Amino acid sequence: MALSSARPLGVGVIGPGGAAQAIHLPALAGLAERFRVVHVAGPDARLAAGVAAGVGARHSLGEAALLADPAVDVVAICSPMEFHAAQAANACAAGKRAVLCEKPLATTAAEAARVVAASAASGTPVFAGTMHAHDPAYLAAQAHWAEPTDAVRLIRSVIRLPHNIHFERLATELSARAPATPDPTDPADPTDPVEPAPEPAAPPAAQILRGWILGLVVHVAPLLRRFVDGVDRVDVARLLKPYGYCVSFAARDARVQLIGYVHDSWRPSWTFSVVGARQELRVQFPPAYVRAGSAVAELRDAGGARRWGPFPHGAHTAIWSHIGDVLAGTAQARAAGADAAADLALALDLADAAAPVVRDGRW
Amino acid sequence: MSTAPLTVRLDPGDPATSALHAEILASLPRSFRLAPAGQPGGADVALVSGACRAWADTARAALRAGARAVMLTAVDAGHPDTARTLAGIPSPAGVAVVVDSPWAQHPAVLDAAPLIAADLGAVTFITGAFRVPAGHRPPGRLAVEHLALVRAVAAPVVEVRMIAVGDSGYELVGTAGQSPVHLCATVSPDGVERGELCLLGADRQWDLTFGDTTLAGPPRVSRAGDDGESVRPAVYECAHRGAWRALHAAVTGGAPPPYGLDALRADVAALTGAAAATASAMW
Repeated sequence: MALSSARPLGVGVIGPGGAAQAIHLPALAGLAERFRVVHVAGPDARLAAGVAAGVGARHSLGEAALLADPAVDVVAICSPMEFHAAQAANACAAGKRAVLCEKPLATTAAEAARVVAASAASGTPVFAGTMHAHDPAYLAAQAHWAEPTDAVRLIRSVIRLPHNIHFERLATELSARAPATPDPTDPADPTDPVEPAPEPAAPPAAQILRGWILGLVVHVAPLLRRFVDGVDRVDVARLLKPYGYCVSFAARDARVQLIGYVHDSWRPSWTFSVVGARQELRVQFPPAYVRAGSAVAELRDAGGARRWGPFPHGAHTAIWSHIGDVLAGTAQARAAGADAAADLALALDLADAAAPVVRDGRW
Repeated sequence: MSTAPLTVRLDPGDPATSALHAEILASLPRSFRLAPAGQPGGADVALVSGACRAWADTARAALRAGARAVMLTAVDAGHPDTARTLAGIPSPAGVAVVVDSPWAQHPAVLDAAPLIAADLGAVTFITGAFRVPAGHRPPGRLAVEHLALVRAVAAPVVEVRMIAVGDSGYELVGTAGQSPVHLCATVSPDGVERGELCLLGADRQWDLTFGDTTLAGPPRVSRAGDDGESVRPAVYECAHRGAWRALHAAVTGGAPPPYGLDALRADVAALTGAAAATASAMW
């Protein structure tokens, strides 16, 4: 939906790393009538300047100048996850019109609560970057899910991906540093080329798994919450070699299986399935970063199968379009504010419940 | 083929399974023919369905009557007596006991097995998910069949822990060789049978995708590696037919069956061991 004749919304990007360069700047470029990147800020002045120059924007060190910039209507937070909550709250306090915060919204429930409070106080909608919740094929298919929550028997998320750098290089020409090998101490994003914080020794298993949950499982948290209420009991939690996890938990009568496997080969596969008593939903998402369109979603029942997608606009274009629609007053915010915090809460609950299981080492 | 067809006695206690196998045997007319109905004993081969109450007695009776082979099918590890019953089945020298398994005996699986074996050192995780029509097969039977599949392409699954089992299906974890294994089966909401088994390694991955196991639709068996993806030739034959061919080869040529009584006993034991039995939740 177009924004009529209003000027494009000014976007300020905090954290010009891989996600900003490879995902958000290309997505915003495809929505040039609605958005224009006007300011890029980060802790690395050279990187911020380089990225800003590429889109004709101002740049600054830190975030204060960006938040004070009246040309910035919407703030995109693409910094490392430990900074997300404070930056989102600050953006709300600065009176910005909207915030898109890369996932996870925060790293603790208390942080998330502060973001929600700041959002409510300022009236600034805060969207989490859980893009799959906005994928048009997924949205279309799940709208036809007709079964009650207690009919869900199985949810299975299997994410098999090459390292992120493989797709980042296909999505953009990255500015600044890009390590050639993955960083095994950063399980949430083992190949993030811009903001790694390497440690000399591998962290404990529970900490690595928490990183996976906040970095990768969190993608599907809104989808999980569409079909189950929460985490009743974690039965399986194991780290996989070389990088990955297998987690299985009970949620009422349903089993929820979450598998992530990051590998050195080339083939990506990102599926999300829901099995009910009468329906089965299967969604195949494209890998992140590359502009490969939407997912393909299929809903099966005894009468056959219906299919949605692939649509030309993928999830990241969809989330930015949605923000534009919300600010234009033509849509209600989806997966934002308290909803986004609830998505995060599910991920945090899962990480807490899985910690003793993965620590136990039992398979 | 110079030998006469082997005569087969179906299992009158399980008409549905017998009907399925009769149809399959009709596609192997030079190898098998059905023994005349109403004449007990004397057949070369007995089909024995584990779905029948006294299936072990049926097997023993067939062997006493001189059967040269037994085709054992539909064994349910979820039944408390199965392990003990299996232990009581004799395996006299020269008699083949072939276990019918809808995935493990598929020729496409067996053809790929040596190639997969060459990659096993690189495999670090095995996971499979299957959908089966409601009431089609109990979870204990499905679990046996899936362990047989992993055995066929990788290694026997040991250290099994049943995570959940019930009317909705089953979920288990175990270890095959050095690889953790995670398997599950659920009731198919659309009534269509399908499944997949994935063997994942850092630089190579095998994906086996299956459809209805009673049909000859081919599984898709593919390997992704540095040089791209290679797909194994499609084999339009169901695993049940493959099992009957294996049985014929065992009787006429002494070839060991791909999945026999000892392997079945081991898989059932893995599924009924203490850890597997005590950790399960209802599903």
